[in-house]
Amino acid sequence: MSGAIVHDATGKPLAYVIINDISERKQADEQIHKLHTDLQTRTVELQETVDELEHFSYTLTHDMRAPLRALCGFAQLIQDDSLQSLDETAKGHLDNIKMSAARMDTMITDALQYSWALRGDVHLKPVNVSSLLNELLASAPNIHPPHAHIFLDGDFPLVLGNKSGLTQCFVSLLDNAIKFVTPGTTPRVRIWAETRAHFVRIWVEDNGTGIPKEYHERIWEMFQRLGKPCEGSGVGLAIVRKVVQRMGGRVGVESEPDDGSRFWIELKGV
Amino acid sequence: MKAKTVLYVEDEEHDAFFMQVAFKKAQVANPLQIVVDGLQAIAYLQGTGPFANREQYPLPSLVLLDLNIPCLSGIEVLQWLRKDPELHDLPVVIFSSSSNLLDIAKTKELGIQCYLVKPHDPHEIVIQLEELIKDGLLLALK
Repeated sequence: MSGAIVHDATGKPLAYVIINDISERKQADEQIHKLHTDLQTRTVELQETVDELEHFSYTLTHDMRAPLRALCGFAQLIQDDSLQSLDETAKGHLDNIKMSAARMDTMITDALQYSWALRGDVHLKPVNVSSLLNELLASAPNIHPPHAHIFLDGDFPLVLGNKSGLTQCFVSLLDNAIKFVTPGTTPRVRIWAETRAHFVRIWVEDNGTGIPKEYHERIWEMFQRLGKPCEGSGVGLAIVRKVVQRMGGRVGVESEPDDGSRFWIELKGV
Repeated sequence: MKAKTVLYVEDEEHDAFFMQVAFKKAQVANPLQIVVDGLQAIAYLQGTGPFANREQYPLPSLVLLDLNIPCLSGIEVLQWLRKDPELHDLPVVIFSSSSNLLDIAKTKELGIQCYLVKPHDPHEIVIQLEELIKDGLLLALK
């Protein structure tokens, strides 16, 4: 901004003129407006890409299952109708075809579930974790003694979450806790809650084979497995992390080989 | 009593084949007619175009409907069917590879007899058909 006094012919001051140069501000305004428009366009484009990708993965996973069903089905029909004309080696091959197809199908089903975890609506409500876990345990006979011992330890404060999402998470965590034990060991799982400021952390501790530190990050990614393929598709924990993130929470693990694992889910308290 | 025709809407050739095998193994008395997309399904049900001959293509007593089919989706066929003045109460059983809860909820809302997820093991199709016989939706031989 600059100013000057304007004089008349006799030298008498006539006026004081102020010149305010607003071209910079104008430029900045224009810049902001342009950025804003760009951002809107990009958001729309990005949303379109995301929608297309989701549609693509949904169709792909559905269409991939049809030839698999055929593989399984024809192998089964040979077993049903022509078994007597096969020798032991051929029967074994047939079993392998069916098993591989079934494994592929599990992977596709899990990938589908993961895409639902990405897309599905997550309405957050106060959830009573203790009654959720009790219902879950009551409906799954394979996780009761003598197959496994599961203890709910202490009180569970209400958390802000989504009941079906959380159920899916605990099913995966319990499934892992029970599956990955040294042969001959009865799985023992302890679940408890810990309040941390505004959050509630729910721990799931097992007596399983444990996880080396270098894998603690990788286990949360899609199709990452530490065990044999028959032990799972490697999608369970990826779903857990995605679902918990969508509920505004975090996940983590503390574990050492041969010393069990302590997985945790942290959600907002109510 | 003569068993009435079942119309199976299915574009996957192999799935159609497994259904034919399962019909035999479960000893279903109903003749099976297969169409491969949503438009054919509607033409069959209306008895138009290539399906005009009702002797050859009788009106079915049950529709087995896949959801993921060309031209019109299974859901669109079901929506059309439920609005048709003459066919609106024709029994429909969904036979789909999708176990998506949205698909299940949507079709139930439109009105279906039941929702079956396509199994991998052809034995299980036989079991599913036996259930439909028990429910009176299909007729057994003998």
